[in-house]
Amino acid sequence: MKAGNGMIRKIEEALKEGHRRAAEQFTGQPDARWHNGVMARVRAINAVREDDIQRYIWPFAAATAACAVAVGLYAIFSGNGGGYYAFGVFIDDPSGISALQWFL
Amino acid sequence: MPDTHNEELEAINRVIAGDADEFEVIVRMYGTYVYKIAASYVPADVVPEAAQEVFVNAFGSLASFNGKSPFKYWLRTITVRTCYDYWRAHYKRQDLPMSALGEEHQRWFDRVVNEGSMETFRDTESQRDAAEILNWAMSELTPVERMAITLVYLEGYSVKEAAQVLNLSVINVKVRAHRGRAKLRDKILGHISSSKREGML
Repeated sequence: MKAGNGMIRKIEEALKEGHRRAAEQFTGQPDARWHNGVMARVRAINAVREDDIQRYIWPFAAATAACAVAVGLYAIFSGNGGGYYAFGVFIDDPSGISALQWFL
Repeated sequence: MPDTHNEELEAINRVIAGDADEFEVIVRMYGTYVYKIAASYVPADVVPEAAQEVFVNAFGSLASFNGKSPFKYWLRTITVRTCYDYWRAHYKRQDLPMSALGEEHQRWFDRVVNEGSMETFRDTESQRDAAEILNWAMSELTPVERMAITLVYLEGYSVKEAAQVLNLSVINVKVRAHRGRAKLRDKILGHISSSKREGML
């Protein structure tokens, strides 16, 4: 058993040394084709990202605007006076009369 | 050196801001470095493909680089994880290259067992044989065992460092490395016993 252990340790050490030297002596270098390949993939990923932004930003803006209109209409027609305050957000009404009368 | 560091940081910031072309600066700076690291974890013929994957992954997660540790170390972690992904993908598909040992490998074992001096393994041929034997011995390990063995026993990482790089717990790495080493030893000893029976050693 001890002889087996000694032998396997020798083999492990030799394999470790072989691995270390193989890594040290690795001479592979990235070439122009490889560089172009990486950058082509990177640009493709970036283009997809930009497309995603373009695809979602306008529907999102339209949905947000529709929500704002819906909330505004609800405030105006619900009859609890919220319409006046909503109206006041857009139109200055220093006297607090003309717009108020319209809602009463 | 500070100029390189600044150039690197500026390029990273521009890429994060959306200028993908600036990533070329990073690729040019670290291409050889990534090649060299990947060569320790995947077969030499796979290195270009793995290195390309490393940069694509790095580009995808560049926003997560917080600058606390040097960019080089961050990229090294991505390289090791990408190599781990390579083994996982191949292990799942069961398309790992099956290697067999030839006469030259028997001679290598013979020299190691009977001579034992590391001086005898300095020649390129012996190193190539050692690399092929290691590849053969590791062929039945799971990807995580392979990576744990490579990091801890071959590359000299501490278990804690290996766990951080692989994003696993320390105990998990310890167990996998230990189990993997036991499998390697069994395989090598099994081969030696059968060779002895056949009178080859």
